[in-house]
Amino acid sequence: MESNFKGFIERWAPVLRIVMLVMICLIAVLIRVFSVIRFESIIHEFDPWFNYRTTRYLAEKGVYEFWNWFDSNSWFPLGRVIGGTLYPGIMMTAGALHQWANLLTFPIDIRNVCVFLAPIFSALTALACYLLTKEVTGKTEPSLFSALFISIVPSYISRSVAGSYDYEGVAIFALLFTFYLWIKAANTGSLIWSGMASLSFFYMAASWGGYAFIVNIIPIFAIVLILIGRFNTNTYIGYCSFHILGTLLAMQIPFIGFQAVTASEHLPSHTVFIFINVYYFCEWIKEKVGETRFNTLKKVVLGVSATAIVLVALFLTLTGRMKWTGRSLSLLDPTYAKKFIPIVASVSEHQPTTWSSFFFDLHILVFLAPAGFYYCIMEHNNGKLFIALYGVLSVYFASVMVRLLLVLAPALCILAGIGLSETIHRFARHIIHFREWWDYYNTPEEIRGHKPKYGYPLELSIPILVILAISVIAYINHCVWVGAEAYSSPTIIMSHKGHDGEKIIVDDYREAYYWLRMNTKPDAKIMSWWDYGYQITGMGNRTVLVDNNTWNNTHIATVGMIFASDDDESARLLRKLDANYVLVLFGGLSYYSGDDINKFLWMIRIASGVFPHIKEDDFLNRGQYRVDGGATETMMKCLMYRLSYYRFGQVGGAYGKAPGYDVVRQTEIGLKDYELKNYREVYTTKHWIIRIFEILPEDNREVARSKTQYIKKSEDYLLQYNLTRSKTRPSK
Amino acid sequence: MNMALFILLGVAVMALDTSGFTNTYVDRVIDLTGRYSHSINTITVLNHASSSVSKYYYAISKDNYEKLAHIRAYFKDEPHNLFKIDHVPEESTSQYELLKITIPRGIASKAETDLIVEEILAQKLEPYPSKIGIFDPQLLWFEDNIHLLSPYKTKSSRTRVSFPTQNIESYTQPEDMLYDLKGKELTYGQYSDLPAFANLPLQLHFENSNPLPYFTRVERQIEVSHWGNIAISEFYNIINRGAELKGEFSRVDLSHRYKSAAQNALESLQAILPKTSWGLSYRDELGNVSTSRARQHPSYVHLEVMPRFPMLGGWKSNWNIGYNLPMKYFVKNKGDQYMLNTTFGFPFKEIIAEELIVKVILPEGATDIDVALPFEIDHKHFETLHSYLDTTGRPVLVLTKKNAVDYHRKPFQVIYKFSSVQMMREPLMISGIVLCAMLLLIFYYRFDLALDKTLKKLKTE
Repeated sequence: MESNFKGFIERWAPVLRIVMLVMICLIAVLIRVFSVIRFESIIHEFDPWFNYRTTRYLAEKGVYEFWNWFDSNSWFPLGRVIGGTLYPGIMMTAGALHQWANLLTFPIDIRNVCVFLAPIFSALTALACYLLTKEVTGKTEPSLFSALFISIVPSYISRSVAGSYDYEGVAIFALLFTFYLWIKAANTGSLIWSGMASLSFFYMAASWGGYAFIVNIIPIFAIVLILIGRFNTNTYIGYCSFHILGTLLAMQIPFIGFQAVTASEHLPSHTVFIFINVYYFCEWIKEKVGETRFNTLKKVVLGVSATAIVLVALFLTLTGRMKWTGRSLSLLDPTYAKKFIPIVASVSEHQPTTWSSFFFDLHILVFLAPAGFYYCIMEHNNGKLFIALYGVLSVYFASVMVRLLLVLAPALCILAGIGLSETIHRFARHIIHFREWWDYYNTPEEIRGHKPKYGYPLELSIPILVILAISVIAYINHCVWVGAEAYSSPTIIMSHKGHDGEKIIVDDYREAYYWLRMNTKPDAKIMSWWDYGYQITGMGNRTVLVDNNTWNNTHIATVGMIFASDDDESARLLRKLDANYVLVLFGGLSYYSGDDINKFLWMIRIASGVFPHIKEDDFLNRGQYRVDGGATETMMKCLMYRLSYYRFGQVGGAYGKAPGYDVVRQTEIGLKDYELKNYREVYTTKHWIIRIFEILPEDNREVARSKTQYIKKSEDYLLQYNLTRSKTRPSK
Repeated sequence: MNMALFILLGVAVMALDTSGFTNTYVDRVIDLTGRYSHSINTITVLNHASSSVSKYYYAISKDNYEKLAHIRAYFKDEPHNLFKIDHVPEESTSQYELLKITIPRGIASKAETDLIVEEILAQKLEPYPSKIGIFDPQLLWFEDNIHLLSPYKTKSSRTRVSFPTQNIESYTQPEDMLYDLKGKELTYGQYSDLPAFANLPLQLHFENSNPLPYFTRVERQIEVSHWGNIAISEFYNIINRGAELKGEFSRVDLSHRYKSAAQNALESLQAILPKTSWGLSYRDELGNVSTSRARQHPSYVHLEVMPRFPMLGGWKSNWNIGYNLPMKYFVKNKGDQYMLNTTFGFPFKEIIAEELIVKVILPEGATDIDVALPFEIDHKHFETLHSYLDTTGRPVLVLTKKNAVDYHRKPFQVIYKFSSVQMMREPLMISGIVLCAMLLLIFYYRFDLALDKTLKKLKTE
């Protein structure tokens, strides 16, 4: 009977495995479409709008047009070379899917391809995770567990819900698949696997800046293997061929280009490559020349090469060839960004991670992974060591930056899968062998044989298994809740329940952008803080001065300076920049806390870095940032304040508060009755979240006076002869 | 030179046989209460020729002809029997265009008949001033002719103009002529013994704070699926041609407690859909527009759509609405011969569409397509659409009509041949592909394709 059952299980195991994998893939997709069900099939947030816009361009005009696209709609008047400044992986993927679907007579809208790309890739990620764990452990159970874990891990859901059309959506798949192929290559020493790993790496490099993680973790792993003496020919072939091919392929991406050789992120990879080859070369020489003569040689060579390396490094650093990008530096030194690059520090996803977000995004994995880590170290092979190393490194990175939790999540899923499956295995065998133990326990002591190998009492094994089961169920519940509630909002549409339970949708973003799209001139230039740049170009189809691709700090600082200047000065600067409209976000009426007044201090900081006459202290009243009566004069005069609160003082306050009560800052604004001199309000959305102002053309008389010389001369003449002029003359 | 022109003109006018008819009485009603001007001219026509005459000429000023959105003529007692109206360019002059109304059975000799000619003019109501403050009422300027411009002599006539409000800035007050303004109605006349082409300019300046919306382009797609559904999606480009905003836009003013602001803003539009319609959607280029309401009534579905923003004068927008209809109520068949019977016009009332395109997308394999329309259209052609699982493509009948108004919301019929075997094509295709894939898999797993058997043996060991 028992053997029958066992045989049955064994016979059907492959089928069960496939069924389970298919179900995991289904879950991975389904848990990510809550946003489509709750809201609609729409692109979310900020960056995805740029990706979507470029993908549309690609789908409409083809690859070559896309590659050579000079986008004049952003960074006015500088523009942006799109092909050379982005990772094209995601656009190419969506474009290719769209084209294939069209060929197969499924004319799907490109928007839907973009919206559902991330969920589809998360299913592929689950498969890649399964393969990687399988390759590492050689067992199915931990692989299935880790596939299940990664398919629903909240940290990954947050980046890959339907509509979240961003690099990370495909990059995590590419990351895991590259690891899988590379481990395969390192285990087998096969050039085919190594080549495939390089191709997968190419895709990763084309998709996400996070490819640098692969570039660094693999050499570190190689060094670790050498140190513990597990480096062998197979690993050598795997590493060297992958390094050469991978670097060459990465250089094909215009955005990376020669950075693959010069950038410091790639330096460890090259160094280790050289080191390994020198090491093997030395081994070979040692074999030929013998131990003693080799030692003398070693001394000479080491001395020379050490000096050479120091000199080269010095030369590179001094000539500035070796540069670390700001984001990478802030990874090595978490306080770097705060000190030197406010534009990186101002982004919330670049903040250090808190313990609560660890738990929220990873839940039970945080506890299961250490067990997996333990098993990986105790029963190690190359693959398990790699996973352990991946875990350790990514824990560090994740602690520095919130967004890198995403890189940690796969490591923890695999480790947790291994840990959980091993633990279950260990406790389950006590239950299976329970009868042996029972017999042993119940026989009198004299005739007992030796103690059976597996023998814990049931009352220990079963509760532990039950606890594990409950925690995994809790994890699944948590993930589903997160997928449904926390991470399913598109952020451009907000919804809340009204007094009578009716769903109220706040759709101000699209309202404003559609207004721009329909009722401004097609070549209108719009100034806003860079956060909304991608959305204005994507949804409003209008030109912006700065956007989320924060490549030009000066330009962003200029915008910050304009917002911090007063009415006349800002208008003067805006006219110079040829801008037509100013767009500000204001949440003071409708509890929208992420508005421009709250971001304003960052704008001042960024501006003051480039334009020293903007001083943060001028906007702070004894160190406090205030908008009420205690706001400083500079604050009350600046454009941001004037535009945000324009005519807000005439709005009846909420819940018996005075007119002009700002619900976000919980205070009554300090300056209520004022007029704009150079600006005209042209549109404000229903809940006041977005306000659009037009910059009025300059006064005719002023132009004539300042630009033509002879009028100035005649003024002097009139002054000289004490002649009076009309009162309309402006006082200087 | 001048003389020559006069003679030529004279010849042109003389070429018309205007002696046959006299307008014994003309009752001209100009309705200015709505979003466009609508004039109804009731003409009592007397044929004093000796035989029955079937051609009645109708003149229309150049300006009106350019703005003419719709014209129709019929006898008062049979309003559904419309007469054919043709433009006669060779008889037109620099002042007016001449139209020919063909009355099939003619007007009998010495008989008197009431002929009604209705005109709808687009963009005839002009905001003046063209820019107004947010609290100001919208004033419109209207110019026309008091008398009916007719190539025939008129015995007596009367003109009535109706306004939406009593607030009338100015109106033409001709000397030694009768006129009378009472509340919202202005009456000119009664005048007697008018010569042919009697001309007396009419200028009106009055308050009308209605929004003046125009659809610059409407595209309706009617997609018939023989699996039982008709999917309709309609794309609208709209502009409010009312007075533009002078000064600032402000939510403070818009929600003013005592004064109504931006009165000429278009806040919402109402559509009446067939009662069996389901799966309604209201979207635009950025996705779903959340401001819409639909209600099911016993005999229709009432859909109210609001643009994303209140449409002030001069503002534009676009959107599309979609809905489905069950096929069984709209498509009838006799064997392989099918007839689709649905509405031509769009479901929004009292808006002129400058261009209406109706695309009827028939299932793949439909042939012998023909259309029966209750009125004339400007253009008709066929296209092919490649949609889901199509190989040869679906035939699309494209009907274009310039200037569509409420009148064009009439049923029309599309007749086509379609064999029901065609319906099975797509399911069979999919099953075939799946079958092939499975066969390939079977072959792949059952056949050993390795060249070097020893290697494989090594591996399994």
